[in-house]
Amino acid sequence: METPLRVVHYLNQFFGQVGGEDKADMPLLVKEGPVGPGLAVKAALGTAGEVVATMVCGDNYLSADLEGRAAEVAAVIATFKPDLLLAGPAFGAGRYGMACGAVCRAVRAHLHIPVVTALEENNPAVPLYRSWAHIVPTGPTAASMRKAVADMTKVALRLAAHEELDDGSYFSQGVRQLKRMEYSGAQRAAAMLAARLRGEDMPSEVPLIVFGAAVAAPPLANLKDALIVPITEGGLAPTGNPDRIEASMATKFGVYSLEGVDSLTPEAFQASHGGYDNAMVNADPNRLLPLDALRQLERQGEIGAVAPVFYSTAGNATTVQNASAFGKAIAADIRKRFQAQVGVFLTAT
Amino acid sequence: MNADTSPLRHLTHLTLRHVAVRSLTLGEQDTWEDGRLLVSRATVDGLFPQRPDMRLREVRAYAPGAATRLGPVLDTVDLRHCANGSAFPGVTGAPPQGEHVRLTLLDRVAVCVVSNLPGVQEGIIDMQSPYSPFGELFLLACAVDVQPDADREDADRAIRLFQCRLAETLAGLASDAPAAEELLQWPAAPTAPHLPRAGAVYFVQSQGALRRTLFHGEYADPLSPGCVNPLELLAGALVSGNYVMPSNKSCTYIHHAAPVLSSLQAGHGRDWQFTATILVNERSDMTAKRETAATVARIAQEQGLQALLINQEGGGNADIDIMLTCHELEIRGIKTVLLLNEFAGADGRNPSLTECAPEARYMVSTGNNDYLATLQPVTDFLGFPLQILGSQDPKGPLQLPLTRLYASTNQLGFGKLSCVTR
Repeated sequence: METPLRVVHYLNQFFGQVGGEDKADMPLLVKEGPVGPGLAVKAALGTAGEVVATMVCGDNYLSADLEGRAAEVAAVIATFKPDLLLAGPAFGAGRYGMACGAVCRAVRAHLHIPVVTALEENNPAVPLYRSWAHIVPTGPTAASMRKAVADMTKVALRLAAHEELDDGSYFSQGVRQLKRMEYSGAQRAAAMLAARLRGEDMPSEVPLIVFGAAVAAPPLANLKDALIVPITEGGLAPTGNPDRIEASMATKFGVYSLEGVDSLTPEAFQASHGGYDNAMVNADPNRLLPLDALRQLERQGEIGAVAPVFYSTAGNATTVQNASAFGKAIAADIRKRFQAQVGVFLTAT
Repeated sequence: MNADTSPLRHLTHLTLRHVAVRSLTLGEQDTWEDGRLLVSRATVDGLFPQRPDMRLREVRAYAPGAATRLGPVLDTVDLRHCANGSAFPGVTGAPPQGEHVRLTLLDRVAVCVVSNLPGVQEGIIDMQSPYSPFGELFLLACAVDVQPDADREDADRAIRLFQCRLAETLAGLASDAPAAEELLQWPAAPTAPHLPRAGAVYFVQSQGALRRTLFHGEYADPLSPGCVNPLELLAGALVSGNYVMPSNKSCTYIHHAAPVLSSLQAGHGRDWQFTATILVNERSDMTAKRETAATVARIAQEQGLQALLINQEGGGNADIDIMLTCHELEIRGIKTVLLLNEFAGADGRNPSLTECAPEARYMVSTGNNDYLATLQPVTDFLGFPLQILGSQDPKGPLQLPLTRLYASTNQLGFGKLSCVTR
């Protein structure tokens, strides 16, 4: 007989049977075993799981500092070594829903276990936490408690067993999952085109993405005073690639010294980027990052100076997330290092 | 070489003689008998270029589902033969003459080259994995060892010529074998005029050394968009020399299998009149991308097209080509469906594309390249593991993103992978 899953349950002051709005400021109270709706959870779990502890916390206590206090609660939850976290159901309650979402997110980040809560569709916590916790849809009030608990527990058990979840049993997390289809991509594309021509609405397999516009910084007022920071996504690094920047799907960028370097030599610098044949760059790295030309402009006084460092990564199948993160981090590093009027000279391949 | 000057643009009939393969083995001589293809090492050696910068290290024959991996795989080529001309026109020889061409095609078999050719970014075929479509075929695999200081493009040309000649020679063994014949004609048979005029925008990628597509043997880098006769694509006009990303590039075998053209042909007379195939090269600079999209839209309007199926090759900056083209067509009232792959991150939370036109509301996904596939151990590895697997045991259990699995997310719609949002 398999060991029952250890489940921790999070409730607010009301459902945790401590008090009403008057107790909304209460800090975390740990109760042993199931409490209130936890009894319905226990029934729904059957022999598959056991509510080992219930965390009871005031809605106001959490909402005063959602992230900080949720982290505290998560640390306490961790001491119970749970396999699952259930929070709520919170139905349409805003503060309670936010607390459930925040605690779920903190526990997931900390313990990497399935975290499930249950909220009504219009609860403000849904858009904020749907991608971090599995949020099961409920009715607006606790009148549907029994069903909500049953649905929530079912999803949690499936997650623990790595079983597929039914569509609609939780709010979409916006996560793309690989799926093998019955027909080939070409057949599906033709079917979609035919459907369009018949005026039928056939859903797209790839959701429309709306990117925010990147607002460009204003141009430099005066090049002759500016510090020019060279940056490249061509995968250039000191020979030997000391930071092991990946040639594809890079997870990092490097910062490398240009002090005393007048021109990039193949002995000192090499490129590692799978998106183009690196031979030409490796024969003369100035082709990728034209330091020789920049130095000439520096000597002639056309630019203030070349920065003492350059930044580099490989922009080959880089995720949008990573690329954004690199950009932010590089900008922060530039601001930290240099006080002068700074311009960036970014080369791409 | 553009579509309007290509030597096979006047083809009106193409007969494809499909010959079924039942086994593939290496033996003393080359024979074809009743579906059993026997290949001799001497023949393969005889076709291999005699040059000091490369050698044919090994040749192996694999059955579908073999417990083996191969890599890095360069191109994979179908076995095809034409009695009165080249089956890879412009590569192995001059194209066949006349308006009617007959080709012998051996089904479910391919020749693939694995090599340590420097400058490529290629991956593996794992013949047991559900993510390797070529695991379902018989494969004649040639391991080519190239010297690190070889002239890369010259070496690549030599390997390609060898591979295509080998494919032709072996298919030629079955040129008199009984076959199921398929007759295609162009223009397609006249049909109900009320049906909308539809076609393909067939994107290829040719952008510099070792990232090329060849049209009639010439690099397609300078190709201008133009209407191409789909029969000439089936006659072998496109050959791949693109080694930029194993998962989502279009290798020669898939160009010749032409799944998009087949699907459009299947709908002819029922859903549409299959009218045109616009061959286009993806460009690497922004101005050229914009010009290309505008030209495709102009051609589509001139052809009176009402619907177009658009594929992509590669990804990332190639998203811009397909999206600009989609936009230019849709604002002119031409309906589009896009066939493309995603880079949604290993956790599926990354935006799938790097660009998206507001009109791109009808897209078919060929899968998430970042998905981490688990591969079971195999008993055999052919090729050069260090290039792609580093110090990992090439035969052991592996976790690799689909990016590294050859043809896994092919965007001519060859495979069955897709993604859903959950």
